[in-house]
Amino acid sequence: MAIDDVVQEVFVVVHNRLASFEARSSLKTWLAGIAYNVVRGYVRKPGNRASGDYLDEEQQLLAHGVSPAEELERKQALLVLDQLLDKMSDAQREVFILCEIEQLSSVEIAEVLGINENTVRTRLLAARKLFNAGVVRQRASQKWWRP
Amino acid sequence: MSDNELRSAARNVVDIARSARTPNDRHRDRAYQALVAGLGGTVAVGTTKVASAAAKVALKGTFAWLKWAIPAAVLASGAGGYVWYSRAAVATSPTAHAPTVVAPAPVAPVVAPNVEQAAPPSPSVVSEASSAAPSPQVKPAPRPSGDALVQEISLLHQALAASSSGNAARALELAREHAQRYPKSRLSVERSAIEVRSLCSLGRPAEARKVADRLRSQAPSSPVSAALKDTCVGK
Repeated sequence: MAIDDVVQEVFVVVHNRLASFEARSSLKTWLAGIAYNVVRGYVRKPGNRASGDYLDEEQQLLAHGVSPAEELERKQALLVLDQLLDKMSDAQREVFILCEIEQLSSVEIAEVLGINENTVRTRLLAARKLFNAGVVRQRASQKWWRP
Repeated sequence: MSDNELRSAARNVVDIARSARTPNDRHRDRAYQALVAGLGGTVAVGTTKVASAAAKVALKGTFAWLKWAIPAAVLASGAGGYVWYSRAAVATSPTAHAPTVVAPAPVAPVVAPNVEQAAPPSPSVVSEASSAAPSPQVKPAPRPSGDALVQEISLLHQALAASSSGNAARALELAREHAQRYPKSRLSVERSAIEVRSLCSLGRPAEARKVADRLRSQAPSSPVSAALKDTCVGK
């Protein structure tokens, strides 16, 4: 599975470069930058492409210390999130995940992606608009959120 | 509220999903152990499997969101040069000591794709893995569309409601309808649990046990499996 190798590579690079980290950026940004570059390198390799598949062990990640009801709720949230992320453009999804999931600031995202901060904000705005609308539509279609 | 921020319902989805995909202490500990055991020692260049399989589960949790970064990276790197990391490059690159790793500043030299093809095989883990395999085209399970997802979840909730209200026959019927319509559902464990409970309530323990056995083998560590202890298949 591609993600195995990509994750492995991220850790190898982190290990190799940790001694040279001088804290001119935050550790979080530093790690995100490495991950981003490793992924980008992987994707640029001929024959490689985003698989977008689910984690085989997601069940295990979800399962620890939660009740069945909580697990169901989590799975539903993941399904909805995945589905809405699928609807975003690559650029929107990238900033949305870095901001909303990884909790990076727009300044940090701009640093990681090497783009203008205003561009980050514009993409984030579009992504949030799409996400908000998607969740509203889901909830309106069916009262699924709470059993 | 404007779209400058996520609305509460959307925020709720993100918060739950983030929590679900955030490694817990156990996973972090396993990842740490893997790093100490594997990366802290004398790892040979080109070694592809430094971490144990179990630790990789934990590591994957940390980077679960990489799956979304992959397509994003395609676009972002489309006009740029070819960027690649390797242990050798890290050791020799003048940028190896650059303290700030802003993503566009690669550790490895930027190499044009045609040059890269002529270069000797990279010792990097990813390139080795990707070149060794003849470009396997993994076809992911199809994801439900928006309406299909709503219908799927709704059907499961109806089954849950029937089960909760004591209508085991109806719950079983709905669970089996769900199984028929969504055989590869990511909610199959929950569906099976409803089926087990319904079969127990209907006095059909042999059938319940079959479903429970399948469920336990499919998701042995799931709290859903553990929750079957108080049913007719409980041990």
